[in-house]
This record gives sequence, structure tokens and C-alpha cells, in this order.
Amino acid sequence: MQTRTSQPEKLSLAPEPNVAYTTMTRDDVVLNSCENLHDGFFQMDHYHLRHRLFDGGWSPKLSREIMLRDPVAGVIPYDPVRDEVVLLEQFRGGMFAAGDGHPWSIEIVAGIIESGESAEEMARRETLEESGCAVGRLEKVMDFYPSPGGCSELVTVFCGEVSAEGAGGIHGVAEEGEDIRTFAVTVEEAMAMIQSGAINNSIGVIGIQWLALNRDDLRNRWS
Amino acid sequence: MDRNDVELVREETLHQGFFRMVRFHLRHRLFAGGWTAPLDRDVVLHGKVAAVIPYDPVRDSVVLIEQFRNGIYAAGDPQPWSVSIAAGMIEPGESAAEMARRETLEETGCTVGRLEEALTFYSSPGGSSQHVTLFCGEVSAEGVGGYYGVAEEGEDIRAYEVPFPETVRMVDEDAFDNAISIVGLQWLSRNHKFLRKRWT
Repeated sequence: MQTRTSQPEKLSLAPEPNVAYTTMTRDDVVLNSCENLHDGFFQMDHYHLRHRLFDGGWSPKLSREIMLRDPVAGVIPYDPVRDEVVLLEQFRGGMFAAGDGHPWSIEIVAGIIESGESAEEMARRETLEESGCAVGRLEKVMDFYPSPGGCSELVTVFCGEVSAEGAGGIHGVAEEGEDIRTFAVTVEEAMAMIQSGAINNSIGVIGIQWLALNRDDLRNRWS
Repeated sequence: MDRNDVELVREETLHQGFFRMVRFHLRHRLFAGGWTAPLDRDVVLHGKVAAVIPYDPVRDSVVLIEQFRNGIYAAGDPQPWSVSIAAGMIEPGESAAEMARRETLEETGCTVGRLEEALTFYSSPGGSSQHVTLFCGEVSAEGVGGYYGVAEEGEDIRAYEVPFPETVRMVDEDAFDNAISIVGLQWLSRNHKFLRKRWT
């Protein structure tokens, strides 16, 4: 997300009632203690903290469990010539846990950024691994937290220029248990898949909706 | 592929506190036929969430809220207060639509009139079961503004009105930092004309 370069003067009083942007910062939080509850593939920590209140003063001590996750890069693999997007289908444990009758998810490219790697490098590598497509131009779209109430995961979404001609087949790193089916659809078909619920994960919905809203500009820039 | 193409061998509890984290030992069918080797998949079990775009079709504006978010703080973000639409966990015995009305009132002070389901989605389906039902709710944003939330639950929420075109600009400029708000306001951008016609 965009970080403002100039912070407004710190307010000791309540902020203006209709200010669109937050006036609170990290300095308005006091972390009393933080303990690790679980450390495995994911990490679960227990934070004990207080933060400043909008009307002045401080909150009571809050005790919150937080899942710590590494940052993720996502890529919309878009072919501006064919006006197609490359999609992936794979099994997702979270959907299985939710009791979903169809725990295979239709997605855009996404993967965890490894340490020492930039989000851009990861975006190119993961697109090739998961879809078989080499990325040409790469533009950052936005970044966001999928579930900021209880998880630190941060996703950076890119749009990557690919050729969707011949995209298809089965990809993924078998040693990591990946089994990914790849296919190309038009942007209209992808939008219909959001409306029908066939694409129902935050990264995919945000990426495809962004493409639907921005592809005219993008095609002008990329053609 | 469907649920029958998964063989759950064993479910192990890794953590049980406010959240529960489990490890599934499973196999699933492969696209090419046959089955995977045994896989371990860790997942945090999360309740279902309802979210609402509080939209005033007469004033053509949206009510947004701001609150502290632990996950953003834990990520080291310099601005751990997040601007969003209304959202909360669905309680047992409550429907998503009931929750949507209650949460909008609690967080923004607005009573919801018409309520339309927009989309449903998983926040992060690789490692969490969290599922969101997103609604658009008709509100009157006149006089909105002030502090809301259930103090006993540690909530401290600022609500305010933003004109619809400003929300479009905010999405374009990456001013929102959370999935629910981005999905919701992109949806409103796409459906704004039809919705406003239907609701006025």
C-alpha cells in the first residue's frame, strides 16, 4: 500500500472527523511482550500490547494471537495481444479445512518470496514454474494484507506480460507436492468465473478485477 | 476434482489457543491420474467472515472505518491502522446476512436497508480456512462520523463518509491495504451504475 511521505503533525487531540487517511502510526503502539506459541511451517505468536485510542488515552492491555507468514508475490499472467489471462488450478488445504466440496482453487500465479530474493525475481520465477510462461514486462499492481486481523501475510501483486499461446498442461514442483493445471481464458471468461464463484480467492479476485478495470490502459501501454 | 479426490490420513493439532492450527496428513488425486505421495499441509482454522460495503446510493458515497490491525503491526508496517469497509466474524447460529447488518451498525452506526450478496472468497486458502461473504448494504451516510466499536472487545473504530469517486481513486492509488476492502470497492466500481439505478 502507499505510504505517505509526509505525515501530518501528530495530534494529541482526536483526528479530524472526516480525514480519509490514518493519522496513527507504529509509534502509537506499545508492545508489552510477545511470546512464541508454535514454530513450524507457520509461526503463531501471542502479542500483549496497548495502543492509542482515537479520542485520546490508551486501550486496555490487549492479548492477541497472530500468525506470522512470509511475504507473497502474485502475478496476473496477461497476454495483451490475445487479451487472455493464464490461470492455474491446484489443491488448497485451507479450502479442504473449511469443508469445501471442491478444495481445488482456480488462481493466478502466487508464491512465497524467499529470503534474498526480490518480489520481482520471485514473480518471474514463479510464473515460469507454475504456468510455463516467461514474463516480459512486469508492472506492480498493488500490495495488501489478505487477513490483517490475525495474520502478517503481505501480498504484492504484479501484472506480467506473457504469451498465452500454447499455455496449458500440468506444472509445479513435484518434490514440493505441487500439481498445477494451467489454462488460458479471455478476460471476459475470467470475470464470469469471479461472478460464478469459480475464482474465489482474494489474490485471484483482486488481480482479475484489476485487469478488468485497467486492461484498456494496459493494452495501450503494452502494444 | 472434488472432496472425494482427497484422502485424509490423519489430522494433528499443532496449536490450540484463540486460533487452532492443524496439520493434515493427506494424499490427493493428480491431474494426470494416480495419487500424490503423502503430503503434510498446515492450516489455521478460522471462522467465517461477513463483510459489507456500506453504500449510500442517494449521496453516492461509501462509509469507511479505520482501526488498529495486529497482523499489520506484526508485519512491521509503519502504519498498523487500516482503512476498510465493515467486516466481522459470523457467530454460531447467525447467518452471514444477519451478521452483515449487525456489524455495520456496530462499526459505523448505520442501519442497513437493502442488502445484496456480491461475492464470496477465501482470504488465503493455502494456509487458512477463512472464508468471506461480501455484501453491499444500503445505508444513509448523512451525519456519519465518530467513534464506534465494542470497547469490551478492545475495538476502537473511526467511521467516516467518502464520496464514491474518491474510493475509486483510493483503489487506483493503492491506498487500501486489506483484501476485503479492495475486493469490495473494485466490485462497487464494476457494479456502481446498475446498483445506483436499482437502489434509487
